[in-house]
Amino acid sequence: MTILLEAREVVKDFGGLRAVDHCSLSVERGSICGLIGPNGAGKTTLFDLLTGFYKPNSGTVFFKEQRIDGLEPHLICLQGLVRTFQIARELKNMTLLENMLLAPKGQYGEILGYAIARPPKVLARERENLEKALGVLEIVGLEHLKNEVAINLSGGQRKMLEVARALMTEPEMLLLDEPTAGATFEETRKLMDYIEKLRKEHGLTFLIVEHKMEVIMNLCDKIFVMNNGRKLTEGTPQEVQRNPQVIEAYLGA
Amino acid sequence: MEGFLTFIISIATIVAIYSILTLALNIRWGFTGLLDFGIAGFFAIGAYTSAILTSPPSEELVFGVRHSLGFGIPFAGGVLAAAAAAALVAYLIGIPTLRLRGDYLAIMTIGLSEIFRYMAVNEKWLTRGSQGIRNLPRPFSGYSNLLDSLFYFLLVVVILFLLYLISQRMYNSPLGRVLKGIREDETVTEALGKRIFHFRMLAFISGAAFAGVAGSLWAHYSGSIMPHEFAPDITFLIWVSLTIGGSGNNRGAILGTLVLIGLFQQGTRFLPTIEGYTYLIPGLRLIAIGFMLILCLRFRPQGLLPEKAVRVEKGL
Repeated sequence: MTILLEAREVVKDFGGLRAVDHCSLSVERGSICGLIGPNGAGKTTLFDLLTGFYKPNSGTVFFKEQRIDGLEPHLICLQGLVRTFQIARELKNMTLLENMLLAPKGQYGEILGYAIARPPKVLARERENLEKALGVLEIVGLEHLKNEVAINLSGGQRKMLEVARALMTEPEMLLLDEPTAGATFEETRKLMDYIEKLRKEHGLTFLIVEHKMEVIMNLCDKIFVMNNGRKLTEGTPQEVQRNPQVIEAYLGA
Repeated sequence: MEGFLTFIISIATIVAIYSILTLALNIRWGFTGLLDFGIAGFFAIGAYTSAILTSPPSEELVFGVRHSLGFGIPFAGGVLAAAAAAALVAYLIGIPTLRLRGDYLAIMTIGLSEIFRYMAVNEKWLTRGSQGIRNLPRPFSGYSNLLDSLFYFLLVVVILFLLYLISQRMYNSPLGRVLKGIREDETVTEALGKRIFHFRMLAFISGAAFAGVAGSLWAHYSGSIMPHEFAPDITFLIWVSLTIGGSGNNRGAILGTLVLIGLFQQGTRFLPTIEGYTYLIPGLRLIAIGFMLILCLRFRPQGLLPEKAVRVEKGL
């Protein structure tokens, strides 16, 4: 197993507050890892550091053995590391299909001259992407809403759309920030099965922030626990569940 | 009768030229969400570029100032140069300003458009200052008043139609999708691998080129240009036009311009002036425009022709 994503001793300060404090983690290719911790532990900030939305004050991040800390977010996405957001950020006045088709890389039609002249290769690429988008929408159960504007979706559907849209970039690794928040039991199940399937069939790697313990414990190979900006511990779901420090962090002392 | 027809055609020409400006704002604000208040500035750059390039070279003294600039190039060259000059200026000022967001960009663009206007007032060697540049050539002229204005109107309409098609293509393309994505949520669009600055720049430059073309057409329509014609009130009339017509919708942009500029601003020119109250009608006109904007925002905030969701599958 090779290491796909690795953070070494990353630190992020906001003024006097140290949000992430010398955190290190490494994620193996093809694994599903969980990142848990009480609210305010620094999970989302860590995501921001991994995906270029913040620059770490110190420490380094490697993806596919290349340094990516300090790179702009769009470049990190193009490398194959894509994130979703804790609060679903659907593009409200665009249809589901537009949301989906925004994501694919290397679209000829994004070049001004091609957009205006519209040569056949623009349409051909568009058709390919459309087919793919319809396939993914069908799997996440949103196909019947494909021409609906995203603002009309329910909370759980929005989260599904986020994951589906991120997949359209053909990532190697997905960072999902609470992908099942607001989702129904049914939707949660569906998403878990889909994540499992993506790992098995496409070799995708996942790092997932989640509060629903049944999701984390059933899905993950390895779990990182954060508290107060620090990594408390890491291990298999069984190890983490038995760890007295984790129980203390969650229940308070 | 002929005089009346010429009058109608001249109003229609003005509406068509302003429609190009509204399309320009639609690309910037309607598609991309750039809070841009500098349209009048790019309009001015286009007008002056075309005027200077197409004027015949001369050595005459105008009000004591030697006016020696003028290159006598043909009209078509003037239009293209106007688009290119406006686009180039947009590129240069875009580098520092397009990283700014929302209200900061608004302040920068309105400030810069005023700076361009004051440059036109002060750089007399280039622009003849507030005397303006006169006797600009107009293509297809020399027949009769009516025919001349009719031909020019048709030319403007053809150009408007071409620019409308370009704008439609942009909107319905993957490029348009990215621009809308930036408008809806920059952060997401960036997280999906799009270089925001690059696309904001594209929208800014395309809008500038459109406004430059409009400026050139304006200069050759009116035959003379002066700096005060390019004051920020043009920018605001264009904003009202786009808002009333339907931001994000190219047809709405043109309809809004027709309603605002055609009916309210130009169409009321034939109203008689009331003896002793010379400023009453122009004043009432502005009040009416303000009132119309308020009504529109209250009862039809998406405008007369709201933006429609794009059906991606169509045409594939």
